[in-house]
Amino acid sequence: MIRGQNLFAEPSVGRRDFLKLSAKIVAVLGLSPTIIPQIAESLEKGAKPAVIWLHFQECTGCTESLLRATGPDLAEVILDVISLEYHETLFAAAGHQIEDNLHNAMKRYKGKYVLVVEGAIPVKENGRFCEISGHTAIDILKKTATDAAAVIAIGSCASWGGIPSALMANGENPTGAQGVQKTLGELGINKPVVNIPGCPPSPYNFLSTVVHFLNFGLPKLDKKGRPTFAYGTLIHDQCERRGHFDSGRFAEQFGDEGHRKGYCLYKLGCKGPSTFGNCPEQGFNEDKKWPVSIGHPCFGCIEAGVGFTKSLHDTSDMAFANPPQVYTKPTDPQEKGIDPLATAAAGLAAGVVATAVYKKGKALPGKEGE
Amino acid sequence: MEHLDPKPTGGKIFTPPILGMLLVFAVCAYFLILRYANGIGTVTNLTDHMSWGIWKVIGVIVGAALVCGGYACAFTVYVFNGWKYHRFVRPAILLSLLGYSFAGLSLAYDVGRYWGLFNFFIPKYWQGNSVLFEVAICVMSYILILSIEVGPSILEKFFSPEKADNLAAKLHAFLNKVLFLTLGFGVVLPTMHQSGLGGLALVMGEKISPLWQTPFVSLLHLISCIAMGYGCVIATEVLFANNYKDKDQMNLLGQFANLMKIFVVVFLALRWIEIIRAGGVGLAFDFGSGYLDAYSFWIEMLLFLVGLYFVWSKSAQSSAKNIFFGGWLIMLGGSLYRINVYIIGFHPEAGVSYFPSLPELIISIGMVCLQIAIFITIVKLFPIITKK
Amino acid sequence: MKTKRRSFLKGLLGVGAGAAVVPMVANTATASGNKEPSDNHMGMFYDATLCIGCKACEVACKKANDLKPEYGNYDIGGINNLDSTIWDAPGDLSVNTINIIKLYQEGETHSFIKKQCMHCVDANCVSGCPTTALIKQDNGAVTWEEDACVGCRYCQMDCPFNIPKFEFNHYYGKIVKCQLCADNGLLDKNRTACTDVCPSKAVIFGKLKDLKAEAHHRLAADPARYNGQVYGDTEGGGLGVIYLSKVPFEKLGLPKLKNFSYAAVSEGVQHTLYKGMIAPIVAYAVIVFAAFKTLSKNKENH
Repeated sequence: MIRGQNLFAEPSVGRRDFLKLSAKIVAVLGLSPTIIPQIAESLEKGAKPAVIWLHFQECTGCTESLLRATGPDLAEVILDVISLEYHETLFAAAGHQIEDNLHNAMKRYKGKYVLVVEGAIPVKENGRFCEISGHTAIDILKKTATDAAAVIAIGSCASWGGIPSALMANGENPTGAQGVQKTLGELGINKPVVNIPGCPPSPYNFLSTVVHFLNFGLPKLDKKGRPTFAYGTLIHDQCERRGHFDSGRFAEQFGDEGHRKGYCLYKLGCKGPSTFGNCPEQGFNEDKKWPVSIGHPCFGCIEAGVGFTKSLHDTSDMAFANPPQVYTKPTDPQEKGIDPLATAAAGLAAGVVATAVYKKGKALPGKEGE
Repeated sequence: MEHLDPKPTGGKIFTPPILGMLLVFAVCAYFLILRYANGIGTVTNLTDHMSWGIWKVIGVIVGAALVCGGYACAFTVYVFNGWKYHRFVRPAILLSLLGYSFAGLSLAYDVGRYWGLFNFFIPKYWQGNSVLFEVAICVMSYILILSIEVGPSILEKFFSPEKADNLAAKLHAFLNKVLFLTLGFGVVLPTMHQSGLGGLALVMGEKISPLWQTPFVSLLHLISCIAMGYGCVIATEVLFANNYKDKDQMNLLGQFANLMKIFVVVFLALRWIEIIRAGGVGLAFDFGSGYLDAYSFWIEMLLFLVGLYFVWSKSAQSSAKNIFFGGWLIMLGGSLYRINVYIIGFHPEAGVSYFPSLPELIISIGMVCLQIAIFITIVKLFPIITKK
Repeated sequence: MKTKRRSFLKGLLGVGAGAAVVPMVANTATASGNKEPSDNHMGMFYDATLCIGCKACEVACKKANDLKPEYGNYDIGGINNLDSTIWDAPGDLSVNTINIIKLYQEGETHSFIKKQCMHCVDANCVSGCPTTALIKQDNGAVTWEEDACVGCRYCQMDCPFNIPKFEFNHYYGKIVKCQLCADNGLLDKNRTACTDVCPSKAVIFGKLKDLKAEAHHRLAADPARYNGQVYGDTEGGGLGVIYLSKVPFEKLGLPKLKNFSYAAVSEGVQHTLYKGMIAPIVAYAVIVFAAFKTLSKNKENH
């Protein structure tokens, strides 16, 4: 957990920590370093938005990934940057006491709080597969989203259903687990939704989105509602092993020579070519490591239809095929070959006509005197 | 000269040769269905480099030239006061009509976007600078003119000199009255489009070998098509003649052979002048180039020269055998000339070549068979051929 | 008989005289000068010495124009266990590839070359198309119009660079070629996909006259770097895409063309023969007159 710090003790986060965090966030967002001081200022002194954090069908991995960040102590900074009004994992309170917290926060910050949702929402059988204090996830979402300023769906489960939505052998999604955006759409609740998929997503994707929202409004989103600064490029297009892919060097089996040499893991089932994300750039665990960098193919946890859907070691589809670094000659056209059958037929037809003409001609009367 | 009238040649319609040709056409029809269902590429060997194959070059360009008998007859008989040849007009015009109609039909399966063919009727789409546009409009109009010119022979079946007051008779009389007006088109239009079929090559520039590319390519096509027209009349008339003792007919055909000879000589002279001017003589002997150019060039020359040999002298022109062979050889030479211009001598890039695929060939052959079968059938049923 | 031969020879003479005009016309079409590109003729300038063969332009072009990848119709050779469905590996321009990078290599010398439609100033395809399916836009782009096209493929026969590709394997095919991004909205914003992404600025977009000035400037500034010529200045009557290279242009697949466009030759002949339709109308009148005389003379025989 957080190194030797009591979460509710007086926070000892200094200016330097804010600057470090700002620098990191600005890097993730891909913005100019010149705005780092501005971000730091807003983190330190800016208005702290209220955040209500809900958990539904989830493993709490997204929260844990946030807490695992180590430099600076992210959890503390978060608590300084935002006003966390409701969080089932982090709060010591329980039972009616924490429920009261939730209702009071919703009343006090009505229309202004950011709703963060972690976990999928089951919709089958009226949503009874996930109930908290007697209310279904659908109901809770409906109540809390109605008065929220914006909704952030953190993790693949909240973004599109994630593990709970994985199909069984009979092709069923047994609980009807689905993402927040889809559920809100079905409920007819129109709020800006940002999806931050991943299992778990890099905590900095989440944090940068929040900071961007505080300073500049919502970041640019792609068609699936994901911030483009994190999910705008294919993992395949940023991968450090791309050169091996382009030149046709692959690991064929775990532990073989290619694998030891760090060759491309496409043939072992890497889903990089069909998954959008910034894992190769950002990595995880403060070490910038990600699955491929340590020799395991990406399995597309971010992408709906890929993660938890396609088999781990089936080769990926190509979201966008790119040419290899090989070339044709400028003076080398492609050609269809000569067809012997056609040549024979042509010869036959010509022969038939020629013979007919010759025979007919021979039978004609020749020159006078011949 | 004894006055003869054209008469139907009569006889059974579905003879073995006709049935044979219809069978070939049936196979052709099968491949045509495939072509329409799956696209041109699945039944032909056409490529982006060699994009005009036997359908365009043989079906349209060669096909239109071979049936130039109608054109040659039209100006020989009606413009240059050659009335004595006018018995040759009807079969020549009928063959022209069939040939041009089938040339048009072959476009319906050769072009990739056939509904666009209606754009030729819509002024907004007319591109007047294009030689192909001129050819298309002239050919379409000419088919109409030919139908008007063939009209009387078809209509004659539907009335007799005794009962000459029905619609057929009235139409027949009208068409004959305005014949001199239709003939104007019947000569101007083919002049335009036959030279145009050669002019198509101009914009292809150096993609065509200097052995065939020249600013005079339109004129060369025009001259050769007239020669081929005479050859066609000779070949058709000889094939349908009852006996070759009809001295009058043979005489006239011999004169046609002489005219054919003049046009071929002019053609060959102009060809060689242009080849020398372009510095292409060396190419004629470049047998090791990997292309067929040199070989095909000399075969083309040979066909013309041997054809000329057969009709060179007066006595040669009096022999049915000679003029028959001569006519065929000239027609073959002219056909090979056009194939050389657009396929064999066409080099868009080093190393590309083209030979038709089997379905492609069968479609072409099948359409020709159908054409011949229709011609023979009409000749049997309607007063087209004049003979003793 | 004599009259007939005489009138024939007269006719031949007439035809011959007319024909003699043809080469003169063909020459004047070119001697009078090539078509000048309009002031806002946009174009591209490719400097082969700057190209690194990264193919970003191929990728951007396919993305901008929604073109399909071409799987494995090309033998990349020498690489083991190749699964040819994982790459877009076009070997040449095709109905799915309208821009391609090729490599010329001989011993130590090598050069990349970018091939796409040249958007010729006096385009053969535009002149030859019978139904205005290929149009030269004011901004210089040569574009294809679907509704007008018949699929006759005369454009394929005419193009000196063999650029237009036809969907032979489609039951109702299209002609496919680079349109200078006129059809995907980029040209209106004064951009093209390929020039947008080129990392080494080997291919750039701009007004053709500016690009030509730049090309000549580079030639003059560093002659040893190039082969002394700007390809596209006068080739084929002037091109909309111009090239600089160290390697001779023929080796890069750019054909040696005359300094005039054959479209001008063909149009010169057509316009001379058919200007105002005078010749056909006169011919028609003469023939109708002769036919009338012949027919009335032989009326009783008819």
